[in-house]
Amino acid sequence: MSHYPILFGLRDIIQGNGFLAVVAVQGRALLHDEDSGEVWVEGVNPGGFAATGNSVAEALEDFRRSYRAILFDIAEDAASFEIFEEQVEAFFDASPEALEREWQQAVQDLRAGRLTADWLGRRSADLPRAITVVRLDEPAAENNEMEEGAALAA
Amino acid sequence: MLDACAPGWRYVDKTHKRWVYFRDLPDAFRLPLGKHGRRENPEIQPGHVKAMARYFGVYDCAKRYLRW
Repeated sequence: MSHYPILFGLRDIIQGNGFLAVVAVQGRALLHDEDSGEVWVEGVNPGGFAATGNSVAEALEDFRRSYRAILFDIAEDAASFEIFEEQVEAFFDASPEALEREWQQAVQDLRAGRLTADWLGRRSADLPRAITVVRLDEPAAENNEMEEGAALAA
Repeated sequence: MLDACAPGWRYVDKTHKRWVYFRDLPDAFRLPLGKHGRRENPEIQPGHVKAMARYFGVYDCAKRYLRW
């Protein structure tokens, strides 16, 4: 079973208790396929969830939905924007070292040609990873941004 | 399995996910609930449990109980 290193860029507008927030993430995940044909995606940054599908596209879509559902749960419990921001940052930072090492190893395998994959575009594995949470007080169309979606980290 | 491999584990059902905690770690592993947030038939698959075991660092123990 091979693990593939994934980068993803997602952007959400989240309704909180008395606030609106824009959450933009440049994150990492690990993708693998089972003998059964199921595809699984495990979060690395942020971690603590996994998603599945019968194809890469389905699994990544399930991953996207799961990520957003977790942001909704965090928003529900956060009494203020500051608490929401703190909890989202904690969500992003909580990543077991073992998964981080696996992700780095998968990058090395892809670079060395020990892994091959042509079903997703590639982005540099060295790009910075981050999550930003910004309070949305003055919406303006000029602030709209497309999200980058998923790519293989190479 | 969690009783044996992650003693003291607990969970909280939120609107969209089941948040599972182990030890005093602040970070949880989130499992799916059923469609529309139903609790009685959560869509938890073996792959979710494997990922959770990996996340909590108890995969080797979990393998023995779940015979992966």
